[in-house]
Amino acid sequence: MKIVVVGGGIAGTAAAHAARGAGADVVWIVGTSGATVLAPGAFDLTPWQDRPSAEALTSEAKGLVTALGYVASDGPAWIATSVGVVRPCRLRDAALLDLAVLPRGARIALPRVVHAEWDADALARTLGSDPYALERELRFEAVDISIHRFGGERDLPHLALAARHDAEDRSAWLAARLQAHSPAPDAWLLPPWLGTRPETAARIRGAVGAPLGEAISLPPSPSGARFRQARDALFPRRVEGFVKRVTVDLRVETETGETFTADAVVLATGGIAVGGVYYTPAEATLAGELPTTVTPAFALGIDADVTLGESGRPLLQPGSAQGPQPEHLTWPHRRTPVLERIGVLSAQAGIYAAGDVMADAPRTWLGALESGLRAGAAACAFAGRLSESR
Amino acid sequence: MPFDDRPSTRSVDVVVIGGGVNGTGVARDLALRGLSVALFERNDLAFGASGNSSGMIHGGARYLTQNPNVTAESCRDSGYIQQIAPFLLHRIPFLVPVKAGAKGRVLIELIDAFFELYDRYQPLKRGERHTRLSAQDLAKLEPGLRGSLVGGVTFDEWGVDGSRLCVLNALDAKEHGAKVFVHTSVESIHKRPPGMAGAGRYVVVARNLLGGGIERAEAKVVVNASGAWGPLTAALGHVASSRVRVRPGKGVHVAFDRRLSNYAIMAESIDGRQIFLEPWQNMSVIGTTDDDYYGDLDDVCATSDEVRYLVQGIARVFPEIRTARAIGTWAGVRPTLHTYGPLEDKLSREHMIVDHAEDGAPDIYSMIGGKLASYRSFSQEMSDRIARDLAPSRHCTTHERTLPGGDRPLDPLLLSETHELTPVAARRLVFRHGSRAEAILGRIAARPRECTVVCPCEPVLEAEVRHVVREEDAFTVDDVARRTRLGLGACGGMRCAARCGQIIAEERGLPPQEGLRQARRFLHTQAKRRVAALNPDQARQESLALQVMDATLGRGSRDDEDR
Repeated sequence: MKIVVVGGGIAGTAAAHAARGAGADVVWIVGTSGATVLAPGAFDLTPWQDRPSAEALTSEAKGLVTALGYVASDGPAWIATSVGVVRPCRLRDAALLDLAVLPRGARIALPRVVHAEWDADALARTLGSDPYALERELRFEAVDISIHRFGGERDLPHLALAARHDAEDRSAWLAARLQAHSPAPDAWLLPPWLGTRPETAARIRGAVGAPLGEAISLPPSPSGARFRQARDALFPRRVEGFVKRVTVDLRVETETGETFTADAVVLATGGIAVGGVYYTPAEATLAGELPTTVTPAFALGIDADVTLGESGRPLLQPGSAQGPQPEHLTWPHRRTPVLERIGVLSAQAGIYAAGDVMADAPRTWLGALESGLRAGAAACAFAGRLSESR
Repeated sequence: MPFDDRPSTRSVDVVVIGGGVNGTGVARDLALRGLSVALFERNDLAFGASGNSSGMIHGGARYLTQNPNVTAESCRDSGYIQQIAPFLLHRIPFLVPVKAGAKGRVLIELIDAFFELYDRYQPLKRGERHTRLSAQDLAKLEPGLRGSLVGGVTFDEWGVDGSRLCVLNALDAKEHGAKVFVHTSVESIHKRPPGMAGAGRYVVVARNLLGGGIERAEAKVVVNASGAWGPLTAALGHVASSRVRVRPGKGVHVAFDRRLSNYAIMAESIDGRQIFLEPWQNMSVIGTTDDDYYGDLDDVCATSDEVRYLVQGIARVFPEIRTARAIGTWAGVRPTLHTYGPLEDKLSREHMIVDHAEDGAPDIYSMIGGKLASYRSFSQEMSDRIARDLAPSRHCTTHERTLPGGDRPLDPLLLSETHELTPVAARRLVFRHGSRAEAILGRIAARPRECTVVCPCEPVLEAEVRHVVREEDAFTVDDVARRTRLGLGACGGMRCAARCGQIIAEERGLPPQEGLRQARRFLHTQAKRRVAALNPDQARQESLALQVMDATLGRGSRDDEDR
């Protein structure tokens, strides 16, 4: 049986993984950076402002995330963000520093560096006043240690600095500096520079011998780059490109004209942030006073036989020829914005949808991952029934 | 924060209520004449109409036929503003495209003649004379123009940052002894009864809305320069609101992520009003509406149908506007002189001073109406009236003495070389601060990390954020945005709001969590303003902005969002 998976984020990865595990011949079409690559490296089942849910990961999910280099602990991990908040998550990028495993009263050092998005003093003060840090008596301290090696690094984005640390001599240099610092702290909280490859952080941590890790940063973050590296290492066979059309008889056409036939298709193309779903109100395309034709404001980027929905209900044609009232679509007018909840509601037989939007848990990634696993399995089951009936 | 109710009465000559361009203008004028002044502003400087205008000190060409004296005064005063703050202005040449057809051929003659008349006033503000253009000229100058055109006419105006104008006036007033209290709302105005010490003087009691403290000032004269809030303020002085009647007119603008056109372009809305697309600072802006407003003045927000009305009108001559990426909206309420009946556009843009002696409140004055372009002469008029009794020998000098930073020109390119800044960062810094940019960059010598860029869109340096908190009375992230344009660019503050909050907390000695709360509040307000202009590109940006907040800051609880 042949399964085509469209989308290279966490949901697509999970679907490809599940389908491959079920013995399918998987064609995996991967486009550009998606929400997962922009993700902070902290995965959850529920939005992080809430207390993390205690629901256990399925063994299949756990297997995949471990293979991708993520750390799943039994309790929540507590991660510092680069703006000074401590947030819980169920699953973390291995390069991030988990505050939960540090002893009560631990002294955490932040290096003072001149960088627009890293003011160690202000960050230490802000993190130190976070309720979690207060409860666990964690002490954040800015320390004088120069970890810029060359001039001009002040102006480099985090991602570029992370890439520099992939070089072994640079990461050894950093490790040596951290190790030589006296007095040695209980842990190091570092700017997000610990490599774009999953092994870099482990190498530095091994050399220093103390807990160390990054704070979550704004996108584009090295966490996203590490995800991509891990994914590519795990699934070397991919088709790079964008899908243009999925036909009723399950042929998948790419923009460059390649065509794949499939027994089942998984669409994991994301929501509105990165291109899976497009928002095009009638007013946006026409210069006239009134559009000549009125089309739905939201559409899937791929031409396929699917129905879009919002939180499980079909999307309705708005009561205005100009498109929906924007104030009804997004934050802060709505706590759970429509923009984040629009996705494929149902599709023709043989097409399955996956992603955080389909899981109705926007940007929690674990929800996306599990929906990917389900979609991959369902696609295989469909393909199996199809071959039986043949 | 603990409630501070210890009264501290300061004695001044004049209390000014309102931190818009008229209030700060009067405070500066009086302070320069040697009078002692206390200014109270309920929100922030330039919070109302002054900071939410079209950003032009235009000559008021559209008032030429109805109120030629408004045009003359605007042009004259615009000329003075150029002299006292040359760094804060940028030229905005306008095109008036005229549609082809029999009507158009007549219309262009009329427009040509009209601007011939306007040309008489142009020298007052160093403006260029108008030019008549053929359809071919138009197509060459502005390739984005569409439709069948018979030709067009140019005219010349000046752009200004209205918020900076207010801040600089307030700053100069402070440097000449005035006290400025922002986020401080006047709660009562009482006259000391006869027989008491200081009889006949006014005691103004105000509450600091951030810290909760009470400010008391005693003054001979009270000036109500609170714009659309005017009737509310008058009532505090026991003057009937009907004596300070304004007809509040809401105007909205939509900002786009870059300069979309070479020139500003005039267009006509569906109901025949004049609207425009202007390149302004580093973006393009479309405006404006003029509608009677009945809502809350502290929370004025553009709505999506106002945005659609503007986009529709602009798209008739400049269709690309439909696919351009909107990055925000702003809205303000004009305190127009009150008349019942006429359409909003036909209302007089003149100003007047109400002497409340007739209302049993001598020495209380209300300033009503006015325009950004003529704030200085309106302020002079008001100050002359007050100085007649208090400082008869001192004359107005606000048209001769430069605003802070206007004393000498600075070369941004030179600055960028000596301070390792990008030329853009240096140029923007000099645009906002004039020669004071040197003082800001001077901070970097002592603390090199202040050279880092906090807001990459604008860009804004850490040193500038700290400077406006220390020297320009910025207390919140929103205040910093008004003074530096931090967070008002394409990314909507998602890369800089939290950092800015951190800096404010540090500078003001506030708990760090308060800095984060302020950042969330700012992002919340900005999102509310942006969403009215939500178009396809912006919907994605919005989704991404949410992702960033969810990753690092959190959206916070409802408590954070409420003011």
